[in-house]
Amino acid sequence: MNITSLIFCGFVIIVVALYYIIPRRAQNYLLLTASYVFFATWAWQFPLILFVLTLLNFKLAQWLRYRERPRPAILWSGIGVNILALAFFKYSNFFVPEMLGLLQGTGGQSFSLAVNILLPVGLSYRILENISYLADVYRGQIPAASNLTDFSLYSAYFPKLLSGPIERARSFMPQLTQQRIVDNDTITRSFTLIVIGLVRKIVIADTISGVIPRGVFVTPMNYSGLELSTWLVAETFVIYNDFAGYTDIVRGVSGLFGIELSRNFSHPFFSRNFFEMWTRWHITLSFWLRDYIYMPLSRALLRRNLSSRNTLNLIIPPMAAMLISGLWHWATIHMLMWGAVVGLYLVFGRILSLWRPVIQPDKQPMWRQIIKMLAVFLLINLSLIFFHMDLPTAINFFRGLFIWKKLTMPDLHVPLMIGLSLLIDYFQYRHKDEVVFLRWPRLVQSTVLAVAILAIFLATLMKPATPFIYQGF
Amino acid sequence: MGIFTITTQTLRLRRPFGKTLGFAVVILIILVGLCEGIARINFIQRFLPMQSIGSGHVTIDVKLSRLNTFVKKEGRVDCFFLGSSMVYRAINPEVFQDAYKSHTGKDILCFNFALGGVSELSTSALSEILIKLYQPKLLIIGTSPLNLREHAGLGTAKKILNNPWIKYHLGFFSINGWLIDNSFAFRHYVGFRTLLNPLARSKEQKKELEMTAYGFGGRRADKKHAAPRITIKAPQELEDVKDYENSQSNLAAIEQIMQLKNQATILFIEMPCHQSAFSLFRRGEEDYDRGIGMIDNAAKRYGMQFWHTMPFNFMSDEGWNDSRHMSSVGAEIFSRWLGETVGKAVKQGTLGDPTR
Amino acid sequence: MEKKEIKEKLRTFICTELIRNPAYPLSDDEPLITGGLIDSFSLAQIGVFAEVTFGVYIPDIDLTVENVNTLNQMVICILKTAGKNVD
Repeated sequence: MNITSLIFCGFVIIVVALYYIIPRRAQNYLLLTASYVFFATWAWQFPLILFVLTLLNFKLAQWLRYRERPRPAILWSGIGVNILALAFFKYSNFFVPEMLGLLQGTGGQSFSLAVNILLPVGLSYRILENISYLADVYRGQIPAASNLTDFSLYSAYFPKLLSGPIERARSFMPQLTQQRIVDNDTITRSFTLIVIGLVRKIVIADTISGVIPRGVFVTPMNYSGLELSTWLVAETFVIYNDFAGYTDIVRGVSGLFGIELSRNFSHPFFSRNFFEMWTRWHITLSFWLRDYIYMPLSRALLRRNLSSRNTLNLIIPPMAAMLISGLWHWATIHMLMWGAVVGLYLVFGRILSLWRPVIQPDKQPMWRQIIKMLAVFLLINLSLIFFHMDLPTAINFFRGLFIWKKLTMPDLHVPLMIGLSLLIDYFQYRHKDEVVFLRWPRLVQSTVLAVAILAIFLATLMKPATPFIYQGF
Repeated sequence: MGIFTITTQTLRLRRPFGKTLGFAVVILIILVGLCEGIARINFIQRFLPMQSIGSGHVTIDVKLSRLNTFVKKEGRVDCFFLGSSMVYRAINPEVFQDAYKSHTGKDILCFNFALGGVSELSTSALSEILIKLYQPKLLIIGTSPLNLREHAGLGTAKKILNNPWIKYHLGFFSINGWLIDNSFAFRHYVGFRTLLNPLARSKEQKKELEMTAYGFGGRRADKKHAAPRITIKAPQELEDVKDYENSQSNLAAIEQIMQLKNQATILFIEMPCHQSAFSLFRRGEEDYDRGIGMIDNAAKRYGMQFWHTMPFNFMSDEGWNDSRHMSSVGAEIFSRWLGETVGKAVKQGTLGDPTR
Repeated sequence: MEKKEIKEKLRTFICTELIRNPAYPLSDDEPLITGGLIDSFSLAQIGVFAEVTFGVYIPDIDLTVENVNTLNQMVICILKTAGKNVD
């Protein structure tokens, strides 16, 4: 069930209507049932797999702290089981042939192994949530869940089931036990997020995606440097609006239940350095990496040498975090390459900043801020070359960027939609409010809403719906 | 509490609510109405992007625009010419009309709706739709074994056959198709979206320049070749033609057109090509004749007329732009010959009178 | 350890190591993270500084923008973690 489909809309209406009518104590059961039904529409096996993982993590967490003493063996076993589950479903067709090839002594894939394992949608996100849950329970930061229904709902909650946000149990689960009130403001805010999300996904992302030639990331040598640059930038905006749109929609839907989900994007293209970028792009993943990979590593290294110039601390935590990020997206060499490149950006960014005092970005002259934003944007785009393509194709792409054999006009959908995306971001950035549109006079709000509805309708007609990009991870 | 105030354990809605959405709906209705009203004003249409059905085949939009103007001016269409670029560049309706009138003394109104790069699959769909919308008396379908290749015009055929407006008129309802058919504003919007693509934009400009008011692509400049050249460049297309195989789907499409014989007089004609075109086939003229034989057999099965034109000895090499397409000189000669021949056939009673 | 002493040591450390400007006039309530002076990744250094200097281990979960955005907030966080009175 695609979340931009009419079927999903009908599904939400039914669940929301029931949710408001039934007693409070039955609401979690309703949401849990709806979540499993939603998941089953993708494949009947998925709810089974999810339930097994849920039960496993539920039990592991309860065993983690015996008489208030943490048991590291259980923690590492739990993390291991979750990673194994991910490896089994997601990475089998990469690692198994590679490993068997190595065993054969060829060091590579010497034979083909047909692996046809069904990858449950959203599994990567579930695993990260499970690991964070176990780690938080182990550290005594949250108690182990005693109610299997609530824990199952945390795991299966359908608005975040497909592609996050990656919610921490400590912020999500209390919402399941407390009284949830949905008033005028909540509904208004939720609908606003849904509309913004639909504009991002359907009007912007799907429109640009529809004009990008399919071959540009497969046979880049057939295109000039100008075309490759244009399509690379276009694809960046597709990914951003696709994922940010998805997140806004699910946050809006979740708001209708009185449950708040975390923000995942905060106008990332206005970042002035890479550390800022990673607090604005796929925020819940970045913070997960920061809290469970970066911080523990950094603290361990800083205990040896607290100086900002601690070389190991400058290099290891960001590289480890970004390599794991690459691997999490997909277990391929080019994804690892992408992680390495972005990690290096963080390392060099930090090293460069060591030689001069910090000036708050907001206090720097505007022209300087804009140059930094453009520089960060350019470098991020270059790193995304590895994100989109395998290594040999990426190398060809890089080469192609410098060959400007012909100057062709870009498809004007691209600058129009990029302009719209930046406009939305600008309003949100300027007022530091993702629903800034609610502050406008009612007539202006209504007009913008009318235009948005029309734009969504027209964009839907012009192109068939495309799947969400991050559902593949 | 009062009416329009809803309170449950979770939901605490207080009055007023929904005002913004309500206003938005009203504004939306007004906006849509205004756009549609403005789009229907003739004077304003000149400044708007050309209406489009959104097929991605820009020529069809230019054709429909020309046809629309034609019907507004003339009130009807008696005869359509359909087929591929061979027909588009070879049959000048104005010359045909003159020749026909000189033989029969009657006026006939003709429009060339042939499209470049299409196959019989799209021609079949277009025939059905044009008959439904304009009730012509006569359809002249130009065909050739060159159009019977498996991959002939397949990409274009898919674009056209998957188009919502085309499907709408073939009986497959969709909101998209209904809007394209009924809303001026929507067609202009689709045209605007089409123009955002630079290739489509330049192609539309080119077609606007070369296409006459009768749909004929005759204003295209003739190439200055000493002799007609084979202009198929794409390696795949060359391979396709070389290993010529009859496409069952294209043959079936021809038969589908033949099934429309109760709704209009349908005449199939063999579109001439230069002798050099035979070398495109692996077995040369043998393959060509085999294709002609298949169309012949189909025509006999349906009791249809299929006029052979090869060898077309009425013009020299000057009449050819390349091995498949006539030059303006050739089109003049062929159109005149066709008009005279159709006129003779109507006079002799072997072909139904297409004039009203 | 006194509140004032904690604050001054933190101020010196932040200005020297993180802002890299020992003369920076860092006020008690100036937002460090939301103001863009340091990023949340640098909180590891603050955490380890608290361990080394004050013998207080601030868990990662407490090293957040909400808890340690200003000097005053950091001091409160350290005192609370140490189980001391924050007044």
